[in-house]
Amino acid sequence: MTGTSPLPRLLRSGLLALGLAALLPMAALASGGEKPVERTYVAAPPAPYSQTKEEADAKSAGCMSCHTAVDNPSMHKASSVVLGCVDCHGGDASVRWGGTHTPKEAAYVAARDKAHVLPRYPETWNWPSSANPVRSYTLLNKEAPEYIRFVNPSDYRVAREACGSCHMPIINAAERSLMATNAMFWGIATYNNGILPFKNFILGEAYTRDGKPAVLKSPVFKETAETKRHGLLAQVVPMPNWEVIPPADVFRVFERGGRNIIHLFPEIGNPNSVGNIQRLDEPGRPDIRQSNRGPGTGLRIAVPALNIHKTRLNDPLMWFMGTNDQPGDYRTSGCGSCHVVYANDRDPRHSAQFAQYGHLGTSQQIDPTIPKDESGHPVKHGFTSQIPTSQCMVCHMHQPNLFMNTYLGYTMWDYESDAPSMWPEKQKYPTHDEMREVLDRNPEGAAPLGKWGDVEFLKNVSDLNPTLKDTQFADYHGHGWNFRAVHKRDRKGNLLDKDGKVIAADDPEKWKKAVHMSSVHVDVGMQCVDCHFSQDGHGNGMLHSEVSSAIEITCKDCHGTAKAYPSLKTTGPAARPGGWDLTSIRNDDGRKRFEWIEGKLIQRSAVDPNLQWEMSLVKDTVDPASPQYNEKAARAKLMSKGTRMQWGPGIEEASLAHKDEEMACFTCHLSWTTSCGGCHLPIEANWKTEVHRYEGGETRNYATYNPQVARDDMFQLGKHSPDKNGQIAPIASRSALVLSSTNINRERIYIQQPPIAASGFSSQAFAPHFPHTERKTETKTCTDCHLSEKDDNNAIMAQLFLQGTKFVDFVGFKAYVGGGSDGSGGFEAIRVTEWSEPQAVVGSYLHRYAYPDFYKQHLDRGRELRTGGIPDIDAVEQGAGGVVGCLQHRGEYMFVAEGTGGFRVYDIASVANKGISDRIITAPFSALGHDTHVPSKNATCMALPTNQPIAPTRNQGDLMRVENQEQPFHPIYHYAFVTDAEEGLIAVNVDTLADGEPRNNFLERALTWNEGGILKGARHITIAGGIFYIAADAGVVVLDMADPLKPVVLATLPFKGAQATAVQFRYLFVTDAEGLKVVDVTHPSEPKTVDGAAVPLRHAGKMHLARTFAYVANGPEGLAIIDVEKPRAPRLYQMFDGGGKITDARDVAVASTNASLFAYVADGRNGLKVLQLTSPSSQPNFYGFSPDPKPELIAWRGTRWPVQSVAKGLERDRAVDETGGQIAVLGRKGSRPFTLPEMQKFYLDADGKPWAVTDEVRQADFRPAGPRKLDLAPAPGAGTRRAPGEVAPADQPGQRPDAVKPPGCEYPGTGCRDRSPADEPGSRRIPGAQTVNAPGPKPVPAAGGAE
Amino acid sequence: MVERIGRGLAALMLAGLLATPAMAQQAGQETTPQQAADVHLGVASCAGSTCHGAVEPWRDSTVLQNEYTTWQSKDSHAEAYQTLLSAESKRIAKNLGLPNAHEAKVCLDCHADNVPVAQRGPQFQISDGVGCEACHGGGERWLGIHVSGRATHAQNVAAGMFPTEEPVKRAEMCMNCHFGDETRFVTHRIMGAGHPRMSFELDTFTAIQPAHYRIDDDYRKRKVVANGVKTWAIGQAIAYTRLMEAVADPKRNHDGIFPEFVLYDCQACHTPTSNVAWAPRESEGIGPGVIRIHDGNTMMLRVLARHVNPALEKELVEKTRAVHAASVKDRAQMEAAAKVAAQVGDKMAAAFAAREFDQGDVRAMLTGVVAAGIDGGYLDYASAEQATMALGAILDTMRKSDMVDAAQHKTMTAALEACYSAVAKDGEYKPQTFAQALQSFRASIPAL
Repeated sequence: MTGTSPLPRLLRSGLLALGLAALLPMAALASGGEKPVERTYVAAPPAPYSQTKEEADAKSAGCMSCHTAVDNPSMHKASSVVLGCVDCHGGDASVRWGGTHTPKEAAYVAARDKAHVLPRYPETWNWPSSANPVRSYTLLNKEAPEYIRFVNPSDYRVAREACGSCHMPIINAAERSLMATNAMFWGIATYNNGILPFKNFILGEAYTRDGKPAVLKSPVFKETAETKRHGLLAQVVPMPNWEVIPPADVFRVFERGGRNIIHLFPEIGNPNSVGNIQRLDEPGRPDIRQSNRGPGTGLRIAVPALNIHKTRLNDPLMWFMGTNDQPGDYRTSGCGSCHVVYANDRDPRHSAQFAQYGHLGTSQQIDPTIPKDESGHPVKHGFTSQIPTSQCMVCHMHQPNLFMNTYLGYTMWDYESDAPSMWPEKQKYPTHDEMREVLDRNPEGAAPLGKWGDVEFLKNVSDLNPTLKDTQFADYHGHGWNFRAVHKRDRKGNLLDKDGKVIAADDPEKWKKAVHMSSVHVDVGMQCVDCHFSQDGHGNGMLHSEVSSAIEITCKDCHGTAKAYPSLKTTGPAARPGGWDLTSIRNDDGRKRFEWIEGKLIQRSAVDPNLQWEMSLVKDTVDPASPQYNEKAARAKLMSKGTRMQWGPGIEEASLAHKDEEMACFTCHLSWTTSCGGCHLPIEANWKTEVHRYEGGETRNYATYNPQVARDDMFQLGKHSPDKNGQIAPIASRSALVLSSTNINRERIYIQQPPIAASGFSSQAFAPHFPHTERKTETKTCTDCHLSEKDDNNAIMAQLFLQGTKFVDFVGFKAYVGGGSDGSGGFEAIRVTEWSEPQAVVGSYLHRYAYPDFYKQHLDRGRELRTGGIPDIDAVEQGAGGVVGCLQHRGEYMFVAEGTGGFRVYDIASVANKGISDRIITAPFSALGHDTHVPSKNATCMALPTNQPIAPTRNQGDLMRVENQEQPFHPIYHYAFVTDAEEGLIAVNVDTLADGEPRNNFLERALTWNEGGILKGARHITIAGGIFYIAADAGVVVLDMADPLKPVVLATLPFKGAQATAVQFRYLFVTDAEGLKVVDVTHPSEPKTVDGAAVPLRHAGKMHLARTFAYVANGPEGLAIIDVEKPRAPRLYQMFDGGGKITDARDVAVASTNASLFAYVADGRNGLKVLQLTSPSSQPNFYGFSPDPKPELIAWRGTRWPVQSVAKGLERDRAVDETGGQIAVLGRKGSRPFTLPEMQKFYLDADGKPWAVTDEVRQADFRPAGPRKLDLAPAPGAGTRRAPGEVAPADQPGQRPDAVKPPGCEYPGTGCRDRSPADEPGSRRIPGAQTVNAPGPKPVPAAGGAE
Repeated sequence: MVERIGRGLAALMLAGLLATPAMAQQAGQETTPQQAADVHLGVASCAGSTCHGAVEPWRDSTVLQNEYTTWQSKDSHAEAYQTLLSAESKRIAKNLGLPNAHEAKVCLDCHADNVPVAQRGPQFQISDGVGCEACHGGGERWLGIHVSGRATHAQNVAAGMFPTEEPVKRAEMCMNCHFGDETRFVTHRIMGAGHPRMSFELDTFTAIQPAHYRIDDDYRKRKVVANGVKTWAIGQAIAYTRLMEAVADPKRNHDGIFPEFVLYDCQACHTPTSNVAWAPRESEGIGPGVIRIHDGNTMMLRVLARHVNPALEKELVEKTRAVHAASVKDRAQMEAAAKVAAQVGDKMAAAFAAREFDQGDVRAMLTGVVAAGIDGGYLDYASAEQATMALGAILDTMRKSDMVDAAQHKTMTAALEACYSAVAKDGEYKPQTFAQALQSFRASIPAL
C-alpha cells in the first residue's frame, strides 16, 4: 500500500520497547531551586517522511524573518531531504518579524516568545540565550519535551518525533548502544567493587520522553549460548539511587550491629534528622558500626555508586548534554552528540578541519541571531558524518579505560612532571565555595590547589609546551583534566629519537626529536570514524554488555593477514553475517571510502575530503619481493613454533608461532599501554552536591576522583574472553579503587581501602583491551614476551605475566613499621602523606610544589614527620605480645608475627579516625566475641598469599563458575602463614575476616608443620603462589603447597645464616651471612644456585625487589641498592645511608606515589626513614620502566621500639601468582591471566628447558619458501561472484554462512534482518567458461605459485 | 592509431560523439538512460543508509532498501570500470592502439555510465562503472519527487526514470551494451584484441545480476510483472532484432572487404578442422563451408513462435533463411533481408509482450526447448548455450508459479547440470553430448 507512511508503526514499536519504570519520584525543583513555569505546550507533529518544498517553506517562513540566513536549513547535506524549521524544532512559523534585530524591543521579544517554544526553567537555561547551558545534567529530565525538541530535536527523548520518520531503526539501535546505556561502565563498577555479582550486566541508563527512568529491553530476546557468549542482554534497568545501594564492602563500619551515638553517628539524608530511629538500637554494641538495622543505614553506602551518580567520570553520556564549560566539553545530547560538531580542540590531528574554529565551543553560523563570541554553540547548523576525533573525545576522555587518549598519544597527567609550571608559587587555601566551583567542573581533588583549576589557565596549558622540560600537554581538557604526551623511551626511561638514539635530557630540541607515541593511524590523519563506522557508532540494536563485543571492525578487515589480503568485510564480534562490505561506503563527495587502485588499497578520509592514505598490507610486508617488505614484520609474522627462531615463507601455516586466531594483532603492534594503578575516592559526608542522573537534586556526600599512579611503561598479557576466541591480548591495569570516607563529623571512618570484587578476587582490576597505540616501528618485540638471550628481562617477564614487579605498590596515608627488642615490641602507623589531594608524600618533590607552605614547615622541622598538631594523628602506636618480626596489613586488619606473642590480627579500621581514642585494637568488642590471636612459641615472621583484599568464599557456585566464568581460587588464599622458630610453619584460615560477619572471627591453627625439624629457626617466608620459600637454620627450604595443609619439601638450599628471600619470575633472591645470592627457580622443584651471582654484604637483611633493582636493608651501612636487571650478574649500584643517617637498616618497602618512586626503610633504633628514589628533579628518566634510582632522604620519624619490619604496599600490578593462581579481578567475561603451563609456553621448550630469543634479525634463521609455495590464498574478491561456468555457489567464499549469524539478527531495528532473494540467486548461472578476468580487487602477484 | 583499430571502430566512435541525446529524444521514442539529457547525480546520491544503501533489506518497506549494497557488493556492473584497469584490459587497449582502456570512450561507453561531462553531478564518479543511473536514468528531474515518496512510479518515469520493470524496455536497454547498438558495438577487432566472447539471455542475466528487487504484493501493485518465461521470450525476440539490425547496418556489418565476424557464429571458424560436425539446418538453408550469421536466438524463437502463433514461426524461418541466403550473395541484399527480419523480431516481441505465458505455455516451452535438441538439434554452441539458459528460466518460473514443488525443482535443477557441463567450454562443444544431457534432463521432468 503505497500511501501508508511507515511512521506510526515504527513509532509504536519503538515506544513500546521503552517500557516505563517509574522507580523514583521526580524532584520538584531543577538545580538551583528554580521553580518550573507552568505552561501549556502543544506537541508539534512528527517531522514528515516527505513533503513538497512549498510545504516545507511554509514551516520556515516566520522563522526565517529573524534567522535570515541558516547554514544548512534542513541540517542534512542531501538536497533531497525537505524539512521546514518547525518540522524538527516545533514552534510557530507563522509569526513574522518585519524589523531589524532589536532583542530588547518589546515587540521583538513578544514576537520571539510567540514563535519559540518556551522553557519551564528559563533561568536555568539562561533563556533566551540559545547556548547550551553549563552542566545542565538532569535539566533535560525535568524540562518539557516540547522545549527539549525546540533546542535539540535530536535529543533521545524526542528524536522519534524529529528524526524517527526516516531514522527509526538507528534511533532504536543508538539508544541501546553502550554509548547511551553505560551498561559496561556500570556493570564493571558494580562487579569489580562487589556491589552486584553479575558479569552479565543488568544496569543501564535510559529515559522516557518525559525524562523518567526507563527499563530498556532488547527488541526480541531469547537467551542462548550465543547470546551469552556475546554478552547480549535481555534488558537493562535503571541504577537505583546511591542512597539506597547498600555498601558492598567488608569494612568494619559496614558490619551489622552497633549502638549509635547521635553525635558520633548522625544519620544524614534519610528523613530522620533527629536520629529517633537510631536510638531504638540496643546499647552495648560498638558505636562506629552500621546501624543494627543493617546495610544502607546511616548513609553508609557503596562509594562507586555515589561516584556514578555524582562524580564526573565518563559522563555525561548520550542522554545528556556535555558540560559546556571547558575546552573538550562542548556538546549537545542525542544524535547531535556526535553528528553536530562543536569547537573543542585546536589540534588538527584531533579535530581535522574543525581545529581552525578554536576550542571554546563558539559558533561559525551565518545565522545573525547566534552570537559568535559565546561558548556552547555548534560550529554550524548542520549534521555531518565528518565527525572529528575531538568530538568523540568529549566523552571518551577517561584515560585508563576509554582508549582515545592513548590513540592520540596521551595519558593522564600525574601532577609531577613540569610541576613548577602547573602549581602556583604560593600555596592555595581554597574556601569550600572555591573548591566546589572547581570540583563541579573537575572532580580531581587536586585541581582546586593547582593552577589548572582556573579555566583561563587550563585552556592555554598546551601553549606551555615549548617551555616544558618533562612532558608535553594535549590541547583538550574535557573534565578540566590535563593529558601528557607519551614519548618513545627505553626501559631506563631515556627519551629516544625515531632511530632509537638517546636524546639528552637537556637537549633544547628534545621535543622535536622525540617520538610522540600516538597511533600510526593518527599520524596518517585518521580520525575515529575512519575505523569505527556507522554500526560501531550506532550499535547493532542489541543490548551489549561489553564494548569489545559490540565492535564490528578488526585489524585484518583492512590490513589482511600474512597469508591473505584484506577482505574489506567486517569480522569483529558484532559484525553481521558475512560482514559488512566496506567497499560499499561512500564519502560525502560520492567517492568510495575504500578502493583498490593498481594493487594498492586506498582509504579516503571520512572527515577531510582532501586526505587519503595507502593501507599497509600485511601480506606485502612479509613478502621479500614487495617494496613494502619489512624484515622484522616478516620475522614476527612468519616465526615458527619451537625454540630455534626459524622464520620465513618456508614455515608452514600450522607451524607458525604467532597465529592470527591465537593472538590479537595489537598484542605486538601496540607501542605502549596505559596502566591506571588506582584511583582514590574519598567520600565526604559534608559535601552537598548535585546528582547527575535520573531525577537529579542535591544530596549530601561527594567523592572527588583522584588518579594515583597512571603509567605508560607496563606491558602485560593474558587471555581475552571467549567472545574474542580466548586470544592472547594485552591486559591493562584498569581503574582500581581505594576508598575512604569522612563522616559528617569529619571523622575518617575508613581510609584508602580497596574493595573486593563480587567474585572474591581483589578489586585491583585488570582487563584485556585494545590500547589503540599501534605503531610500525615502536612495537613490542621478541624480548618483550620471551626470555632474552642476554637474560636481562626477568622483571619484564614478571610484569608480562601479571605477576607484578613491586614497583607500583601503594603505600598510602600511613606506613606501618614494627619491631621491638628484648622480647617486647609493637608496631606503629606513621602518617607519611598529606590527606588532602594530591596525597603527596611529605617532603617529596610533589609536596614541594603542591604544598609549598607545608613543605617549608617540614624542612623547618628537620624533615621529621610530625605535624605539631594532635600528636597521635602523626603516629599510632600499638604494643604487641612480643617482637614484631613481620607485619602486613590487608584491608582493615594488620597481620602480625609478634615473637613469643605468636600471631595476631589487629583491627586497624579506625587508625585515622579522630573520634576514636584507641585507634588500633585487638578486638572491636569483647574478646569473648572476637579472638584473632593464635599463640605460638616464637612467631618470627608471617606472610599472606597476597596483600590485596580478597574473599575466597565468595567465588563459588554456578553463578561464578558458569555464568560469570570465573576461575576458582587456589586453596592457599584461605590462609595466613606464620613461621615460628620452634614450631615451623603455621597456617591460619582467615576467611572470616572478609565475610562481613563480625561474630565469627575466631582464628585457629589449620596446620602446624615442621617435618623432621627442617624449619628449625625459621625466620622469614616468601609465598610465590603454591611454592613457599622459608629461611631457616638449614638454609632456604622450598615447599610445594599445592595442598596447603600437606606441605611437600622440594629442596633445601644450604645458605648459611639465610635471612630473607624474594622472588621475581624465574629467580629467587636470598640474603644470608655473606650478602645477596641468586637461585634459579625456573623449576622450583630443582632450584639451582647461580654460581658467582652474589653481592657481598655484611649485614644483609630483608629486601624489596622493584623491577630491576633489589633494595636490601644492610644494617649500619644503610640501604644496598643492587642492580638485578641481569639476575645472574647482580651488581651493587649504590649503598645509600642518607648522609650517615641510616645506621640500622633492617627492612624496606618500595612504592610509587604519582610519578615517583619511594622507599620506606625500617631503620632499627632510628625508626622510619622515607626515601624519594626518583623525582623529576633527580631523575629526568622517571617515566622509564626502571630508571636508575637517585635516593634522597626526605622524611623520618623516630619510633618507640627499634623497628625491624615494614609492611609492603598494596601490590597494584599483580593479578596472578607464580604458579598461575588468580588474585585480582579481570574484566570481560571469561577473560583471565595465564595459567602456569600457558606462561611456560613462552619460555620453556618441550623438555622444560628455558629458551631465549634475540631482537636481532638473523638471516641464518630465514627459511625461504619451499618448492611448493604455501601461499595459495585466492585474490580477495575472486570467487565472491558466481563466475560463468563455476558450479557450486554454496562453497564459494563470499557467500554468507548461516553458521556465523549472530543471535538476534532476525529482530527488527537491528539492521540485520531477513534475507533477500538477492542473496540467493538460486541455481541460475551463465554457461560457458569465459576467459574474462574475474575482477578481483587486487591481482595476486604471480610469484611462482603452483596451480 | 585509428587506422589500426579499423574503420568500423573509428566510425563507431564518431557516431558515438554525434548521436546526441537530443537526437534520440527528438525521435519521439523513450530513450535509454545514457541517451537522455538528464544529469546523472552519481551512485552516492542513492546510497544513503536510509535510501538504498541499507546493509540488509528492511522488513517494513515497499522496496528492499539495500539495492545499492547488493549492486556494490554482488553485481558485476559495479566493477565494470575496474575491469578496465586490469592487466587484460590494458592488453586489449594496447592491442587496439589505445593509450589505455579506462579513458577510452569505446570502452567506457559500456563499462561505465559514460554520460557527457556536463551531465555528471558533483558526486558522480566514472569509476563507479555501470552505476544506478546507467540503467535507471539520470536522477536530475526525478530524484526529488522520488525521495518525497509521493510520486507514483508513472510520475517518476515521466520525470526521466527508466521503466526497467517493463521487459521490452529492459531488454532494449540491456542489449545496448550486451549486444550493442548504433553507437556501441564490440567488433571482431576488439574481440581479436582480447575482449571476451559476449553472451546474453535477459532473464538469466536479470537473475544472476543479482536482481536487487523482490516481486511481492506491493511490487505487483506498482509495477508491471512478467514471469521468467515471458522475460526470456521477449529477450530472445529483441536479441534477434538487434542482430538483424546490425546485419542491416552498413556501418556495422562489414570491416573492409570482410564481413563483421562478430555477427557470425564464432564456432563456424573457431573450431579445429578436425571437428567434422556440419549438418544442415532448416532455418538457414545454406550449405557447408559457409560462415553463418550468429543465430543462437533463432532456435529459441522457433520454439516460442511455433507455440504462440505457427504463422509467426513460418515467417521467422522464412525471413531468417532469406538473410542467410542473401549473406552469400551480396551485402545490399543481405541488408534488405535483415531489415525485413528485424521487423519479424519486433513483431514477435510485441506478440510475447501481449501474452501472459501461463502454465500451459511454460509447459510447452519446457518440452519445446528440450524437443528441439533432443536429437542433436542444437548444432552450434550458441544455441545450446541459449537452450541451457532458457531451461534455467523455465525451471525458475515453474517453481515460482508452484508448477513444481521444491523437491521436483531440485531434481530438475540437478539434472540440468549435465547441460551446463556440456556447454561449459565453447571450444569443446559437442552436439551429441548436449543431446544426451537433454535426454537425461527430460527424464527428470515430472509428469505435470
